[in-house]
Amino acid sequence: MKLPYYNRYLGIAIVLSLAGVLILAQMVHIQTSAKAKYVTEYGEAQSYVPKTIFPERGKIFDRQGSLLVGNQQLYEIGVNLVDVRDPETIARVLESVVGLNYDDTLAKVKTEASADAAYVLLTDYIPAGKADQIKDLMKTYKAMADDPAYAKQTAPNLYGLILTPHLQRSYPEGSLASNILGFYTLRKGELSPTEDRHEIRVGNGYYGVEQNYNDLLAGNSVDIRAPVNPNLVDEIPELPPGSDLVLTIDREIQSSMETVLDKHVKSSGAVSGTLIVLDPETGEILAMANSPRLDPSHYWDQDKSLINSFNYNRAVSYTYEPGSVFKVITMASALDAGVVTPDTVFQDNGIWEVGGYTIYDWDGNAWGPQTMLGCMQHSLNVCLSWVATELGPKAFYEYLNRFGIGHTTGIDLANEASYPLRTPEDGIWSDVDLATNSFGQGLSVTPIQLATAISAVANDGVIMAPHVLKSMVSNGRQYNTTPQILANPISAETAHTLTAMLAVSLESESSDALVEGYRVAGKTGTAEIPTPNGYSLNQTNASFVGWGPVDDPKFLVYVWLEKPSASIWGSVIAAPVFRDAVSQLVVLMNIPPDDIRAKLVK
Amino acid sequence: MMKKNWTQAYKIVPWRGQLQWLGIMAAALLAIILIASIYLSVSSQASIAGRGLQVQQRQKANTMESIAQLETDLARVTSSTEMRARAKKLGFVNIDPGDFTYIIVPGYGGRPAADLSPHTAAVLPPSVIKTAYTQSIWDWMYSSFVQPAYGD
Repeated sequence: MKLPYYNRYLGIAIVLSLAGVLILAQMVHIQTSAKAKYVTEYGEAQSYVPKTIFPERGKIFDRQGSLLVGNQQLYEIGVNLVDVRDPETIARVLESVVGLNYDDTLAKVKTEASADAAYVLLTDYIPAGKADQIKDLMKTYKAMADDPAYAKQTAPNLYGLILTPHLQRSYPEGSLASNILGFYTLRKGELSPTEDRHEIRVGNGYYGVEQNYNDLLAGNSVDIRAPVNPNLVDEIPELPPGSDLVLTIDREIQSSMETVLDKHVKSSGAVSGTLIVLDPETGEILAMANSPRLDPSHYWDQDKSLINSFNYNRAVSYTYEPGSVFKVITMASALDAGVVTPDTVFQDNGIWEVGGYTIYDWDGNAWGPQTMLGCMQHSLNVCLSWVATELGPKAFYEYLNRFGIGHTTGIDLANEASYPLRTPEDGIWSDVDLATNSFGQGLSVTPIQLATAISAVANDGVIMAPHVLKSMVSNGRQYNTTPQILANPISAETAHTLTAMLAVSLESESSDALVEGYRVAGKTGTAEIPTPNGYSLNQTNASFVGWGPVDDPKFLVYVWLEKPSASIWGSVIAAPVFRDAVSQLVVLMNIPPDDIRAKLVK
Repeated sequence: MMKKNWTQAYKIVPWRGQLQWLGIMAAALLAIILIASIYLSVSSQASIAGRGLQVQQRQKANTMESIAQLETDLARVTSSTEMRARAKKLGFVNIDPGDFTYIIVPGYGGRPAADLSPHTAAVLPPSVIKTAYTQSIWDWMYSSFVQPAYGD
């Protein structure tokens, strides 16, 4: 006996069963069809967002641990278009807090959301303080919206406004040591690629330490696929930050030297100034000042003439004819070779004929019989030309090579320059080159090159490799650098003899370089500047190199003032810079005056 | 004989068979609902934990950035320029080299160089997220009940 409506129940059951079977069949089909792979891949792609994680860029400290370069939190501000409810309030707030143009912002915020335009960037690099103001307004508006006193429709709101924090480079000391530190590029379009030989890239260290140690500071970034689906959330790899660097620079010394240099550049009317302080025993650079210099935090809106490979740090990147400070090298070579002694007498007639050219002394006068001490004291070109001739071109250029003239020093700063030295092996060399080279003309050096070379005289004849990196902190460990010997061009005896000669020389001249209480040695330099029409008579490079205390040198100071207008003479312009610099150095380096030091030693 | 009688007794009353089927279906449905509930519960908990993890990852990044910001702020207020200005405001003046009194302090070697390395480096485990947060319920059941534990 069949139940009533049996056929109807049976029909419904068959239809439902068929539907179930069809659904199952379709599921199997979807899983196994040719397009299934595409669907799976599409699903995967939607579940993850490719992302590059950058470790925090390493910080830079001075030798005492003061932060010279750090990182700061800045904000990117944009809107999620689909969430925007009150574009006028957003535009108004950003105008008042950040200074954005109201109409431009309103137009951007009112952009219709689409698949291609879901998020619109409004501005970036907003300081945390301003971002906090906006966050406070967000809270205030939310409280207003929740307040029954306000109708929800009329309460202002900032829905859709997104503040995203990120790190950027910060230079808390402003322009201090900017020529050493370099800078880190932030934004596109701030510098045109044509302003330098190479293209300026965003997110890269340029010049100085930032460029030279860019890889160490940057660390290693990692590309990951960040899951959007919280079920798929995975651990973000733990990235060690970039290495921190400790420099040999002393912040207080650097600051003092910059103050001294700025003052003298201004008072002398010089185009620019450079001052280097190094420890001749270790090669550590204690200070390296440039004037003018820029604030690396705002490199894009300052004097762009400084942002090139020559001018950014003239101490290492700019070659110039140094003039008479180079006589230290010539005399050191001749003394070391035994060609002359301090008491050797030269009859100075005021002129020296060589290779069809005539060499004159700085004042054009004849100085008569002069010992080598007198030649250095009065800075006689004719005498030094004779000394170089006595030494002979082969030995002279061999010594220059030993001193590193014509080579880079290898200092760990970006863009170190070097000018090739003409030698007798070159076809263009002539006899007059020997004479002019002996007093620092007809050849070019960078300040760091000559300071490094002369440091041999202040360090028992040994040149230590100049460097600015004292230690590196990586993965929680600090690695200290070891001073390296670069060369040993002269004997310790020669170095002591020449140091004594140059100390007496300054004292005899009552030089403006003398520092009360401290015995120092040094040499002035006044160099004519080569132009397309020959050497300029009115414009000079004024230099001074000195070191002390002479019995145990702790510092060497190199000064270069370019084209001073107050006077053309190094003895008038550069020597006082040395004196003022050393007066502060001895305090900052805790070096007692000579008489007190002698008592303390006893 | 006994079994035959038992079956026959059941077949005598048709609703007993229908009730048996209904019971089986209900039990199956209950099992499915149970499994689905557990799955949903575990999935939702994993989602909440995952979401929490994402939030904490952002908080961690934010905290690191705040630390960097504070370090920079501290450096800024103790910068050379600021300190000089504050010293001047407080009436300090640069000392003249002649005004110094030098004494020998045994063991004092001048200002020490920077030592920025911590005594012990922070050591983190290779992974700080428990596997329970990343595996599916099936992976969890497999690892818990099927796969022998380490050392078994």
